Amino acid sequence: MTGQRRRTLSVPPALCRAVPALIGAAVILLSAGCGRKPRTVPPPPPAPTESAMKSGTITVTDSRIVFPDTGPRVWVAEAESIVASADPGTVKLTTVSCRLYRQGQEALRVQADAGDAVRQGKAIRMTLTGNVRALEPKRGLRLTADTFEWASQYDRVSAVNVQWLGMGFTHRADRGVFSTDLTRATFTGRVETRTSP
Amino acid sequence: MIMKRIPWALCALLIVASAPALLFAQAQAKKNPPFRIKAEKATLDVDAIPPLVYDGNVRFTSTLHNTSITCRHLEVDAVSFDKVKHVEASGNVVFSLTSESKEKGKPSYRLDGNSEVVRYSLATTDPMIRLLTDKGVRPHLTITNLDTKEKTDIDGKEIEYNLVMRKLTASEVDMGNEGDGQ
Repeated sequence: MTGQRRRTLSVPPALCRAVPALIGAAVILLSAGCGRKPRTVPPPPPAPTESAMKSGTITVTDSRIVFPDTGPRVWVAEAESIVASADPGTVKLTTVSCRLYRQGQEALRVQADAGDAVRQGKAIRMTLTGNVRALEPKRGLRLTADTFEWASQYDRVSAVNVQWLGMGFTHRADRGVFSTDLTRATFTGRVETRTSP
Repeated sequence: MIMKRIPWALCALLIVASAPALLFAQAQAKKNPPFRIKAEKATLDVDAIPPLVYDGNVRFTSTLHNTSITCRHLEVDAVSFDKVKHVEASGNVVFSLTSESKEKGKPSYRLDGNSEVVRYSLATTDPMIRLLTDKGVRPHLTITNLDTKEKTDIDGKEIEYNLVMRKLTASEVDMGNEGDGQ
């Protein structure tokens, strides 16, 4: 022996008696926890994209554009990405969903794969392409098309390879020109109307 | 035992649940008989009367009375857009349709004709076709009895035919019978 003093810990007898009970409680608590679903981690808040870019009077905040900044609304767009172009007042949109307004009232909701929007004074001109779907909310009129052009100042939508559905009818045509709320239309090129199933 | 019955119970539930939908679809089909219109141009205005106007090589077809109409201009009027009320065809109109017999449940007469203006009322209770003289061109109508193959040709200033009552009304008429009475 080296003659070092060995330190001994004296455990109170009451604690010795409590050890089995404590281990049992720990096992129960652990096993209860195993049955639970892992807590879902909330997704991180979206990183601000082209945040607060100013392009003329078009204000891009995160992925939402409201035009104009003040006064009756003309156009509200949300998109997966919004990129301000080098041309002033022009933005490029991908996976876009927007609302078009007439005299401050919502006239049409449109979705598409991609689009461009150009500010022209107090008006907006927008072109959408790919899987375009539109819904007129008051009467439930629907439109699908390959391309969709909207000029707010003329209250006019023109579309290519178009299908209009509503009020028991389906109209198909190569081209169509519509009022923003889809209640008036001129179809040209291989026009076909059917009663909807 | 219960486990074996569950699929059958689900199938029965599905059939019971789908029955109203099928009945609704049938009712809709009766309310709005299928039709198809092809043209070079169409104009739509949901608040206008008529709401639908077609131009250029227009062809209207419908399973209702086996209707076929070709013309240069067609106006379609509809009741709340749920049901076509009547169509008016103009410009070298050529048409054919059948008149069903309620007793036999199948077409008993076939109508073929041409006119400058045709008004065709599709109202389910009183379907009617009316041919009008325009620009000096008098309408022509041929009625064929599908049982006997007997044909009746009518030229007139104005010709009207009720497809259910099978009642013919005409003014300033020239009539001919070409039937072979088989």
